[in-house]
Amino acid sequence: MNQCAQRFFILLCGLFVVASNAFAQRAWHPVVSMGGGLAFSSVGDANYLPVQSNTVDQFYNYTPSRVTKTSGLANIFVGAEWRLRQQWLMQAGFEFNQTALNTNGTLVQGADVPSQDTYRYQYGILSKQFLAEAKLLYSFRDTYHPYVLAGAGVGVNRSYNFSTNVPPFLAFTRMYGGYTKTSFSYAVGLGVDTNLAPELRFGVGYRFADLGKVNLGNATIDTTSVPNSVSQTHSYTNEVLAQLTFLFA
Amino acid sequence: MNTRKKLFFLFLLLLSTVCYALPFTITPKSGTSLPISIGIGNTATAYYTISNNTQAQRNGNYIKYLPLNVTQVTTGGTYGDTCGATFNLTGTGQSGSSCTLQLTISGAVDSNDPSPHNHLFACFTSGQTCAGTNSPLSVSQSSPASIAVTPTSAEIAVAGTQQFTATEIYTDGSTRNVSSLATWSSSNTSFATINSGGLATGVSAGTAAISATFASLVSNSASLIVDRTAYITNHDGSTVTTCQVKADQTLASCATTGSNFISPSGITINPAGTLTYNVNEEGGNTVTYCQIGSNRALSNCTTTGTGFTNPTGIAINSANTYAYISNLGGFVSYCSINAGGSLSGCATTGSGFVSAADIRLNSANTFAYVANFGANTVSYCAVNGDGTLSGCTSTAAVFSGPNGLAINPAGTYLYVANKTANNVSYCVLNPNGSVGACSTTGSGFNTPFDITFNAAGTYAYVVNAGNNNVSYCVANADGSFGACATTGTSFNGPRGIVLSN
Repeated sequence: MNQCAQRFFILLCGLFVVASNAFAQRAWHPVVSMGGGLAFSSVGDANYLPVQSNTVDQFYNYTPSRVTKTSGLANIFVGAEWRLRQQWLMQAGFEFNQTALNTNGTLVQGADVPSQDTYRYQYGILSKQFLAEAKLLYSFRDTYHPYVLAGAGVGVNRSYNFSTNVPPFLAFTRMYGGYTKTSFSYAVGLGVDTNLAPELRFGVGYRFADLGKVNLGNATIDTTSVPNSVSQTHSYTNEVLAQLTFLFA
Repeated sequence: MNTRKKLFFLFLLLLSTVCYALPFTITPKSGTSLPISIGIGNTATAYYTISNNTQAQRNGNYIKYLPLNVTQVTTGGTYGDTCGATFNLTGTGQSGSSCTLQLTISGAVDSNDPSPHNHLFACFTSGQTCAGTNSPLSVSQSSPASIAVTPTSAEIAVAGTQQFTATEIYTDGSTRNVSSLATWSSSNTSFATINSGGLATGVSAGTAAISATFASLVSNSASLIVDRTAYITNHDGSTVTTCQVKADQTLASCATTGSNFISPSGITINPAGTLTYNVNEEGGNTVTYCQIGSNRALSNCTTTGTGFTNPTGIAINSANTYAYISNLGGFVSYCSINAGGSLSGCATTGSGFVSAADIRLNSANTFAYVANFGANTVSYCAVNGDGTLSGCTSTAAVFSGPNGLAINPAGTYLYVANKTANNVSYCVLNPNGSVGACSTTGSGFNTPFDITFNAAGTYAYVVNAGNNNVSYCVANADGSFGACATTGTSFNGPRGIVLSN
């Protein structure tokens, strides 16, 4: 866990301590939020797999394009809400987010520079985020509720459909199977909820999330299994989402 | 990044993915072309040059995959630098950085086969770093369109052989030898037979059409001429020569045959074509008969007959019951022919002969014609049922040393070889057997002793004792001879000639 994640985790713990105290002292009611939105990502890390043997092998250099791509996002939150003070509300609970990302880039492979060729590669990532989340809202005129949120948990990322444009009748390249990687994940965000009815709010917001690590599966060249794979340590996304929040008495 | 820069980098990216460097470059060998079609059962050869594109020497390289119906020639290739089962290549640009890949193609090759394992790949020894070719094999399998038999015409002697070849021709023009696969046939097996491998053998003189059938395809018909055989008696050498009578009427492949000849002169063949009979003139005064073998050689020659005096001519009736011998002693003998071919009961018959040099029977065996060498006439006699001759009548003395006789197959003319005048007379044969008007014809004869015709009556053959050869002349329908030419050189005083079938 890096320093940023550590700080975020401490912050989240603080929020939960506050929420727990409030929950113990004041009345609360359940809330369920469902929403959807867009995730903007430019995921992918450079991976260089060097020549293992000068006489038999070749190198593979994967460079992600880093082009921002847009994908859909689904969001569900289940928790509780209570009033901290006159105009401050707190929500705490569990959130699930799902989005599908795509990574592509440039693959350079060859035994050496004179024999190297440049191709394209791509693969998909189905990312599922399970977070414990706290959301602090400020009530403005009892109608508008600006908020900030933070959550931490795990990201479950399944990579799939690795492909290249290496001509199948001209060269072989490393082909990777799918793989599911579970790792630390977090999200922070802000937005505003608006009362539509006493028990219903509509909100729009922005989230920044790290969906966690991604790994491709085992590699084969033609019919031979070979070691090492392609991975990325972070999957950052910028997300905008709209939510409907149901308040239960 | 502005639009121009983006476009430039996009261009570079596209360029880099279209022009591949790859560890090996595999291109069709210079000066060769890749086959594009192949006939069923045929093979074709493709040559590629494999070059190492890397800077380091690469050892133990090998061909990991090949298309279906393609195999690598690893030893004994056409080129000295043929890639082996494994091959070492020096670094790019160095001597020895390439080798020639020789491939044998035995069937259709699909360049669009979806499996990479059915495409050409050369690899480093690990089998992981590989390269294919931008010039993949694409070979279609053409279907057979026809079958051809060659040679389209041939000529052999009896018992001679001729190998025919059946070639399957495909729609793309490629061919395959199917001689051993085809079914062969001869239109007339009494003339020529042919075995399962296309080897034809002459049985008897005639023309057979040879054809082959394979895969429901029927070939053209090749003409196979089986030549006749000529037997020429060599009086001075006391031998008999057998020759192949070619389609152009020349004599070829002449060789002596048989034995027990003493100054042989006139010669004939029995109606069954199984025996030759020749008279042995002075010193012999006998007849020698020989068995004719399937190869037309003479064997088991035996002398027979008695009572002859310088016999020079002989004829056998079509019933094969009597032989007639003309004797220069001035008479004609007739002998019974026994079952084995020997002669017995020889007696003189007929009358009025003067130095009887030759004798012939008409096809109906109703008249006999005798050349009277000493009187320059020809006698014609009725042939009786008991074999005797009677009512002999002589023609006018219009001949000059008549020594040989022949009747054309149509039975319309009597031909007389005039030994003294070096020409040939031809006389009309009347229906009543009498000899009508005579004229001389032909040229280039030198002491002509005997004359005979081919079965069709289109050519006459005259033996020239004076220059040891044979004249062959075109026989016209009006009885005259057209152009004459000579053939054969190895005779020794030729006196008689007969053709077998």
